[in-house]
Amino acid sequence: MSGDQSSYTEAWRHASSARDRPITPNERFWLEVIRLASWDSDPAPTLEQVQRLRAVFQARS
Amino acid sequence: MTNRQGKPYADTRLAKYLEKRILELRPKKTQIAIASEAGFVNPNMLAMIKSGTAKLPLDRVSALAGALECDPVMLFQLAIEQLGGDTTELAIRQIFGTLVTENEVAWLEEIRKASDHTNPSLTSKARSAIRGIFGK
Repeated sequence: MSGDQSSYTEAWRHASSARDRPITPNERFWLEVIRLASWDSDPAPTLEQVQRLRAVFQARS
Repeated sequence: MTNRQGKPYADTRLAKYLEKRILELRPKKTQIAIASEAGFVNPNMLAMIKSGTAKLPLDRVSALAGALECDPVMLFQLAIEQLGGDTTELAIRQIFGTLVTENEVAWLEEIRKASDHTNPSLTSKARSAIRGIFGK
């Protein structure tokens, strides 16, 4: 494998490891709701939003 | 898919997103600048995609995402939806799994951490909470 190919493969592996993780059907529903609620704006989670998300699960337990 | 006055893609999520994003970027760059950055030879093409007259060609997704400063995965999903029919989306999901953006990966990680990796179902209460988080 040439140097170019090997760096390409490495870059691909790195990119796919960040995204290629199995997503469960439940998680797909969560994502769908986030997409709808955020008007497809693809928001990054802010600290305040994460704290409110955690509160959802704290209320469950 | 509706065909409003020769605008078959007007009701797609991509056309709506494009309109919103171009407005958001207006203080920074014009629609013509975005079209040029995305590699459209004819800048009118972007206006046609925005109005729903034309669909976004897949080979423009990456460059347009760069010009719009958005995640290419999200734009790709919206472009695939414009192809119509569920089979393309289904084929992509079967081969690649659910496509997620970097920000969605971050949300998933937060959900996993917050739920202690219990793969939580989405209750109606949780759904309302998510809507509340985004002020909806």
